[in-house]
Amino acid sequence: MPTLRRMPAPVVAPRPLRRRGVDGVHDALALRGSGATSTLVLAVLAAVASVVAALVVLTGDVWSYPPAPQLLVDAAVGLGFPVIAAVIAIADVTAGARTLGRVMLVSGVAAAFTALCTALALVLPPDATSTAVLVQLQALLWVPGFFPLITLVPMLYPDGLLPGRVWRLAASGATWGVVLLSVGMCLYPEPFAGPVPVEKPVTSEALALAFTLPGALLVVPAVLAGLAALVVRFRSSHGVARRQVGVLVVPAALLLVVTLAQGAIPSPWDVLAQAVATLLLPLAIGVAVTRHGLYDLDTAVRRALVAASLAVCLAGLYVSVLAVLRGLLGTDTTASAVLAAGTTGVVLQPLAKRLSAGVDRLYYGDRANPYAVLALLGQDLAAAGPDVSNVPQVVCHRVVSSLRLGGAEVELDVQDERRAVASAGSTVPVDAPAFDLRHRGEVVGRLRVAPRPGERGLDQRDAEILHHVADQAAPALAALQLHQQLQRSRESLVTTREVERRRLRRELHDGLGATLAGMRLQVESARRLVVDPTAQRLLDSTGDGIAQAVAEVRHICEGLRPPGVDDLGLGRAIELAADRVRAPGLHVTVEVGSLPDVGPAAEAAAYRITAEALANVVRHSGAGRVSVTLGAEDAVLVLTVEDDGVGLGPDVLRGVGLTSMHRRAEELGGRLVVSTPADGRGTRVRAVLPISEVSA
Amino acid sequence: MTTTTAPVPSTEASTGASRPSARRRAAVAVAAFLACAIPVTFTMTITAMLVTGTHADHRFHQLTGQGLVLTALWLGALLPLARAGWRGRRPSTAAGYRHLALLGTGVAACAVAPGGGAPVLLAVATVTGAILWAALPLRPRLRGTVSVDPVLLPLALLVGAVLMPYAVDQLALQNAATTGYHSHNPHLYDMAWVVTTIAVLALVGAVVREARGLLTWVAAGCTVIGAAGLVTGESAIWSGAVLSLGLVSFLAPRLARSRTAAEPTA
Repeated sequence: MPTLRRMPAPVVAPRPLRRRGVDGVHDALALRGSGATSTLVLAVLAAVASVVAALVVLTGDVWSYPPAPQLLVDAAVGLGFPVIAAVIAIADVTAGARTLGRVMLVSGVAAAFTALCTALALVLPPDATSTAVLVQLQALLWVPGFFPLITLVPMLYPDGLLPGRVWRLAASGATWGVVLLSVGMCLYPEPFAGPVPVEKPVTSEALALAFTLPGALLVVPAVLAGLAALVVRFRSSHGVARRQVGVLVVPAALLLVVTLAQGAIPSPWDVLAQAVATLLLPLAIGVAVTRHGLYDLDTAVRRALVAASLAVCLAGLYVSVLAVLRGLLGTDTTASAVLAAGTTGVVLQPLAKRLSAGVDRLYYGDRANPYAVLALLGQDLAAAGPDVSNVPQVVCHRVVSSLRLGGAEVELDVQDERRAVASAGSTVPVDAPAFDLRHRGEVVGRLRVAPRPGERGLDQRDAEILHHVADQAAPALAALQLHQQLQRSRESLVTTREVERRRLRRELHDGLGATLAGMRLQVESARRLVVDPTAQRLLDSTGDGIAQAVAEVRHICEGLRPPGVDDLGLGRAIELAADRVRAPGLHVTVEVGSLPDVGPAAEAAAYRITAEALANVVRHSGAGRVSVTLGAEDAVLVLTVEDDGVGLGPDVLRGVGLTSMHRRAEELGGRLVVSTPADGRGTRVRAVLPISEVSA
Repeated sequence: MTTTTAPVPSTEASTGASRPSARRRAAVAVAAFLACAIPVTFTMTITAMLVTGTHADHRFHQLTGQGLVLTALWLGALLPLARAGWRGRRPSTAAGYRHLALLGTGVAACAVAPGGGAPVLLAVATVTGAILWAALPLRPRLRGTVSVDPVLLPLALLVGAVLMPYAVDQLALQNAATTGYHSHNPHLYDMAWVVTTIAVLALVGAVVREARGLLTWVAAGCTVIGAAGLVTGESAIWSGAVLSLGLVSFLAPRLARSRTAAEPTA
């Protein structure tokens, strides 16, 4: 294992988060002020009211009365939504998200107190005034305790903003509908179906209908609009945002369906189904918060998870041990309770430590286990195969997946130039912590990482393990660096070679060739002037020799560069090459797009690949039609030669021609792919060649 | 389900695969036949009783502890062992824990409530199970990695908190049943046995990384017991709680947070 190095400057010590998260309830409350405090108080009150209501009903022998099962739904809302609202309140979220939190808080508090009123009305004396008041309150509160969940919450989720201006109408309709419906239900003269029917103190059927009907007319379309808003937002979002919305779509639809089917489902399954569907909504939002990073609450949720997990574990352990001890010790409940409490106390510290480590692993991956990360990195590198170009991606992926970091990027230094060669996760900021990739004392590149969502920097342990990862990956990345340097040298050599050939050809053609042609003309003129037969023979021979030299110079020029490319341009030269393979049974089309100056190396490679591909078509394909397409896209030259011949069978071996085409593309840093077209017939040769910067 | 951690042996039967000899296969087959004889017989007779309505007042027990849940746990523990042994593979860690948990809790419950022929049943189950283990060419690796799951452990202890008092009550009732049907047909002991097994499986699954799959058995067991309780008129609160825990056990392993952003972007 590599030795540990000092942490470099870019890695910051862990600091409490102020901008994008929370660090403890106290800090958060200090930040958010009295609004968060009042939200927390209301949330606690709602939770207590819900639990008290459930306990009252479960222990009060009133379960058989119709309002009692309904209480489950109210208690579920009263317990679940204030918790989410409290979490939003203590987080540093946008004003819109706080609006959503307030809607959930109002709804949760109303539902909790509906449950409490229902429970108390069931157990208090039916003739007491307070019972009648509770019944009236219950009738007033149940509407705002439920309908916002299927109207306003889906409209505002997740950022508290409506999907568009047109949705304001729906939101206003939902708000006014809930208000009107609440008043109407409150005034409706329907007795409370407890052990003895209890009448409301204030009723008016006419007024109730006057409020209820318009209220219902506003709420019903608002319910559909709520679901539609969720679907619209889901369809228009991408990535993590889409997942954040997606988790709520099904629970919201389920709640709507269950609510609409209340008359069709037999009791008590109707209420149970509605309670479960209602509970799924805050659960889904909880999943979005914890799993998909909604509101960037990782730190707060992590701490809350440890606390909740520990509390539940201790309670469960205590009850289990107590039950076993009571079974073993008989009726000695005091001794059993003491022993159970003692057992629970003994495991408290180790359990807290283990749970904390478990939560840490859940959020930070294998940060606490460097060996695991390095072992997995080693496995990944071994599985990546001999192609060293995969190494940066493997390293980035391992860093992000094993350490749960926001993102990772590998930069490589190649010939005084630093460029990113791979990344994973979210975009890595410019000022992100970076770790040198050192091999044999030289920095070959850098591993840059984005901190986890909601964190400003890296922890000391993150830094240590990232140093190890950098040390482990550096040799493989050094090999990649060498490979890239070699490739660049090769490209440079090829380009230089073609530039030099073009220059040589020009010199030969315009210099030596022209000189020889002039000399030949002079010799022919001299031959016509002399009368001596011997001199004539000598001049004839000299003229023939010069003509042969001119032909040889022309031949050398053609060998140096593809014919016609320098004189006519690449496009025209390829058209001429295509003309040469045209035959009665072979229809050849050439399509050349607008081409920039692609450089002599790319010109030569494109021409030679085209010529070889056309020759293969003539020799092997049996095609009746072949098309050549040439164009430039984003600093690359794209050449396609496609025929409708017999195609490449699975057993076709790569011959000299194919190998030559691949080599010509690769030596320029391009690539060549030979494939079968989508219709399954023929062969397609596609070459992508970088346009050389050297064009002189 | 939680995080990717140190490379560990697969929980599924995968290592040491080599075709066992004919003699070894025969031994595995005979041992498996002996071990599975009782649970298979139970399954058939209990299914027949459920279909024909025999002892309809014991339908809850027939569906759960005395019957289908018990035999599912029993056969679910034996068959993976036998299958892996037949193929010459090492059985999974979870399969080993499943069998040991079933027999261990059965023996413990039997020690508390030895009436109604439970010791004989447990003796046969233990001996035939031990023969099957002896016949295996490769035995399960039981030395797992202790890795507390902060979501599953509270759930497991909640399962224990709901099921253990019930188990204690059932054992007490079994001990109290000195005459009548339950004195020679220990349904109450069976119920305690099954729910204790489920509680132990939940705990092991939450603590041992290679045994996380046991939570699926916990989920299925709790769901069936809870639903059967609601359908057959057992305590609605207890049955509802067990059913809820079963459903949560199905969901909890899937709800554990996992970062999904580690996809290549370049």
